[in-house]
Amino acid sequence: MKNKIFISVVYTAAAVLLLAGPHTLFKVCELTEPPMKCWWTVRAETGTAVLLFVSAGLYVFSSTTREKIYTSIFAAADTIFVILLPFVLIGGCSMNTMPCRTVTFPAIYAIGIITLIVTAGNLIVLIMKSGREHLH
Amino acid sequence: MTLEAKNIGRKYIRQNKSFDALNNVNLRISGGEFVCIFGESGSGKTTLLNCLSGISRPESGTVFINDSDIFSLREGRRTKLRNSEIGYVMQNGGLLGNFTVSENIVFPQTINGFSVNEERLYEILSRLGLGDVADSCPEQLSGGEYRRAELARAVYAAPEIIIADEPTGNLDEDNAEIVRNFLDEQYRSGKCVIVATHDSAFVRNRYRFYRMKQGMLTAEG
Amino acid sequence: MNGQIKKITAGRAAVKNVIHQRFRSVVLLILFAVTAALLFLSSFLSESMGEGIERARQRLGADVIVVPAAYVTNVDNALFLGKPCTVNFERNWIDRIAAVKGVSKVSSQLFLASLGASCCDNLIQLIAFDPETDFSVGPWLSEKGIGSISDDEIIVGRNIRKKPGESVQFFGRHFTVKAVLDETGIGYDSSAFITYGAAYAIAGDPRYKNQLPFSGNRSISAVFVKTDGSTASEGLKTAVAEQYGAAGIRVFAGDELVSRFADTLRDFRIYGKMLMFLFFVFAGTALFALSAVTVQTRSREFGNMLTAGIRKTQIFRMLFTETALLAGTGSTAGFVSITIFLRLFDTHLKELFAVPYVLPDVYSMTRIVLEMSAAVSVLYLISLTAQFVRINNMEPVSLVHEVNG
Repeated sequence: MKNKIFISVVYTAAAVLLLAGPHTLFKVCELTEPPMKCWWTVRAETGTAVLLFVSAGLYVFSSTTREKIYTSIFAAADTIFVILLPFVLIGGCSMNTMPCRTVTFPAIYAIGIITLIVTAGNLIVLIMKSGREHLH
Repeated sequence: MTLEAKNIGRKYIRQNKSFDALNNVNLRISGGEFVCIFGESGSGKTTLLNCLSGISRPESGTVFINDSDIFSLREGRRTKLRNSEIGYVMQNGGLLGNFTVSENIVFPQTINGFSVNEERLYEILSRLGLGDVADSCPEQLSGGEYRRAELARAVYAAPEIIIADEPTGNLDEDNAEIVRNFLDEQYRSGKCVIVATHDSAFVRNRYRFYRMKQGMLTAEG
Repeated sequence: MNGQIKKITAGRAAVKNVIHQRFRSVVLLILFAVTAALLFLSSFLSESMGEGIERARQRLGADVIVVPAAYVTNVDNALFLGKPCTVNFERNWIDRIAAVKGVSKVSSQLFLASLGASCCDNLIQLIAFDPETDFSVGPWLSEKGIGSISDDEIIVGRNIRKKPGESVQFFGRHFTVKAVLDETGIGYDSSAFITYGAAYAIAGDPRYKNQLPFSGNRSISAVFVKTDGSTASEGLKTAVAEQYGAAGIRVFAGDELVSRFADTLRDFRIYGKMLMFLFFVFAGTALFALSAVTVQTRSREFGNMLTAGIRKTQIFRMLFTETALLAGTGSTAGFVSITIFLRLFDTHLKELFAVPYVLPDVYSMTRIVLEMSAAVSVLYLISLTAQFVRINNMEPVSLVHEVNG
């Protein structure tokens, strides 16, 4: 139960930060006409955030170790997307001093890295647990 | 092998008053002897066994093993005695919660550099009925299994002196009988066994009996 | 029983204790990680600023800089903070200053604030320079084997995310990126360098006469001067100021512009060291208290071990290993986390401190890590002291009975 609460809180917190952060705490560049690349990146992060919410929900309702493992793999893949969107898939402004480069993207990378480390650590523990359950 | 307590005394302070936990106690035990010490709670049985095992220093007198004063030895040497010559099962001792039963049994030997003697380990586990719980953690054991595991740890190194404080306390009759029979076997194989107990089932032929009262030890029977 | 039983050494026992006592282990890990991170942070920031100020001194290259008095703040902000400006200064100042005794070389730069660029929404500082005489960017170009640039080519600073060969547009004019300047830690990182030819062509375009209110080929923004060695930069500065000080110019020694950052850095280092010391004391106290509580709750365990014949040296070895594992893992996690954080928010920190700032080289980073590891090790030893003293002074029977202090 503690594990479920901890992991789902991590995913939910990451999702909330990805949804709200670029518009509040680590604001992205202002919307222009036409929108700059960083704006599209933030829009795409909305999708990854929703998937993280879904992961949190699935994890809470997982009843077996195997289900938790599958949910964690799904969350890990989503988190990799969180990082790749600003890094290479869409990107942002061409100036390092723009808000998206100084604050927004670094914050997104930090959220992604922390979530990925927690997920990876949890996966290792779950796989070991699954191995022990299999033996018994 | 002989274990001898000579004129040992120890006081406790309770509510600013001094009490004699041990008062000029003398006792000599040789290999192949089984000594039972009876007495009410607070009579000084545990204090005596603590001094005999070297974990508590008497305020007067001393303890000899083979005519060697154990309290003239350094602390480390005394500890080494408990790793090789003395096996002590405390009344309120305890296994290490982070290790399995098997690991608890071999831990004192292996951490001091000795290899695991698997034959010896299996023998003890089998003899004390711990084979099924060898890989269990202490929190998973019943009261009887826990006590037997403590006894197993104490005898693993095949010490010449086995000291047990209330070894059958709070055990059901089946578990208590396993423990009594095991200690009897050790005595018959030539070990020196000292038991502090309330258990009247320890009254058997060829044992020596003592009574502890207000810190004084008197022979019985 | 499943499988062969392994020998339990002090090391293996330590690992088991760390894994099974999860709450305590996590608390200690976090304490060591935060301690290491904060100790490292202060040193790292000082080192980065020191490196940045040194690079600024080298990159400016000039012993003396002459700017129009009305634009001192603008030029200063452009040079060190990358805030774009447009500065107008008569070109004949180059010859006038070259004639001052003690001057070896003179060069000039023209600062133009762009309207915007295809790359970015912010204004960019365009700097026109003469590759043959310039001794700020010129030497760097020579090092890279770039002799000159054409009017259609541009050198961009590190903050402009363009690669050589890519195109960028300023004032409706296309430029091809010739090279990307190495990180300088000053405003050059957010600037783009073009020829005077290109700059004057832009200035001559009637579309931009409001933004660039100077005409012809007679404008510069600052004069950079090198001494011939017969006088120090302060002496040359005085000579130029005495000769032309009343003519609406300001003269600075190159070091003088950089030295105020050195003052900021000195203050930062003092406050940083004070905070580090306070935090060190706080962390040491916290670790000491945590160890004392740990020993209290584990007294019975230690008493049982001694009763079972496990020597104190082995118990100490086990405790050493436990704490070393937690200190080592926690500190490493702290160092790595803060390094990643500093790397991610590098540009933001530069803007925050408004001081030239360059990430230290590998040698400096290693030195900082070793120094901070030594500091964390001291804390680690402090945390063990309570445990040693307690176990060493008590009889095994007292440890077994010791539960509530």
